[in-house]
Amino acid sequence: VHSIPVTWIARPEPLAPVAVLGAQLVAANLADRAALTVETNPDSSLRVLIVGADGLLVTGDELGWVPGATWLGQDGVCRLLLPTTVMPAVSVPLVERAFFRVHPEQAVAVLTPSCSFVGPMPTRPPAPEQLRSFAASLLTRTGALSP
Amino acid sequence: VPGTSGLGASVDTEVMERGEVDDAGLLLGAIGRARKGLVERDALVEVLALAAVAQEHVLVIGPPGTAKSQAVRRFAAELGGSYFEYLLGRFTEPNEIFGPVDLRRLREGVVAIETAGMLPSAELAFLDEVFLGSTAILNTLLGLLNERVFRRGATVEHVPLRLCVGASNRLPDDPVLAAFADRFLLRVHLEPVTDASLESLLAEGWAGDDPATPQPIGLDVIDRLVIARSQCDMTAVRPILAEAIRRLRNAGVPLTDRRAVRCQRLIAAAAVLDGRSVATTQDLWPLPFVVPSAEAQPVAREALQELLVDSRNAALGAAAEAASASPASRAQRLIGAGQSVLSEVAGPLDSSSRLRVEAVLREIDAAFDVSVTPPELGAVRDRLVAAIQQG
Repeated sequence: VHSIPVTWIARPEPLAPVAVLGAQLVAANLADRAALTVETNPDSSLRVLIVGADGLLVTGDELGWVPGATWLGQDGVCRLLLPTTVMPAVSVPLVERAFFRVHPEQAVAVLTPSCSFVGPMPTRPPAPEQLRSFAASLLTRTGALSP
Repeated sequence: VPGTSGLGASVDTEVMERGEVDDAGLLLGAIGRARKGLVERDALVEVLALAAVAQEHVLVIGPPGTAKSQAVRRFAAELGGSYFEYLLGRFTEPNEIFGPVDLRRLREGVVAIETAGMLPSAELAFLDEVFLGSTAILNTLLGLLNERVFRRGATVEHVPLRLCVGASNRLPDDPVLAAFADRFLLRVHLEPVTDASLESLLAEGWAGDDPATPQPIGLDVIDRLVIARSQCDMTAVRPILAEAIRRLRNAGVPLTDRRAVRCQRLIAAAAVLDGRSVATTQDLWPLPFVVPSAEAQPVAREALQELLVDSRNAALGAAAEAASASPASRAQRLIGAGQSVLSEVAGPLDSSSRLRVEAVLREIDAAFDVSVTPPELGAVRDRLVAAIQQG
């Protein structure tokens, strides 16, 4: 997970959210929310990807909502996931090509003002208990919960 | 309610009389009922309402099966009045549209038309595949749409038509048909629903139409709003409209003089339906709908971006947002969506209510960074968050 120095500008029209990203406390809340979705609907289209040590990317039609999350969308036909409200002041297809040229084996690329990463395709979420356990471990690490 | 212009001028936007506001509220209710169950057709239904108050006609262009006729039928049913609908074809005879020759008068040697129950007696009309009509049909339609006079043989009648909606799969290339198409001031280009709305489309389609009988508001409501629209003060907005038309010309999107003049009716109607008797820059949003082609409408929107930045409308939020893509109109729509959800959920949220609240919150957060969320929208967001936390 890196931060790329790109200038960001407001989008004239926001993208439709297709994924949501969070770190630390927000990631813990996302994991809890994903657990609730899976409990309610075991056939949910939800997919998750653990990002680095404390991040979580969630995709699918039932994203729910958690405070402070970064909502991501796709600009045109690009696969690169970008924040819905801002856009980089560089050519998005060029950035996408650069990402996948370096990591052709990866399926997902994300670029936000605070981070960028490539990764495998998000997978079906594990059992709700595991998601909640992941959330609890994040909360413990961030100090929101005592160990 | 004070309003400010995007070009720096400030005007007082007088609030309308109570009766006019009530009429606007009745029409807003009709719009809400008409679009219920239709997916991604909010803007279309709202444009129909705008057109009715502006006394203009609408051309809906889109592939088959995009709920064109369903939207018009539902809106017409909520308004009330006599409704005429016809699918035109290359072999459609004029008498199928305008009525048969009156045989009693023919015996007297006069060719007159019996118009009862046909288009000339309709108050609301929907003409599907309108460009397939013969020359005889289209020529008669010209007068009927433009002057609201039906002329055929010895028959000359003023028609009660409030709104005619034409539909077609594509805009015609033929210059003669293009001239006819120019009579439809408003153009709505439809696409099949987006991928994101397919679940809603399938669910609504499976549920079928709401069997509840429409409760028409009556066309007298429209007639009173038309009077209010004709009395709307356009003084402040007229120079800005002229500037908008110049910008469209510079962007290679010229409007005919007729369309430029008639735009004023749409702007006045937008002001009246927003509860004001003075038009301001926030009412310029109908302009992109006046631009004929689907390709030119985004060009127009971009050329007018600076002038449309204030666009918003309390009653026609989806149309204002679709036309202008302004943050103000988006915020207003989201405020409405949030208030609507909040009015329907009370106490602890069940899973369905929670999903609805979350959907609005997600849309707010995906549309506005916290630092630029308008205060009124921020307040609605806070209430939605509180509802989630209580649930």
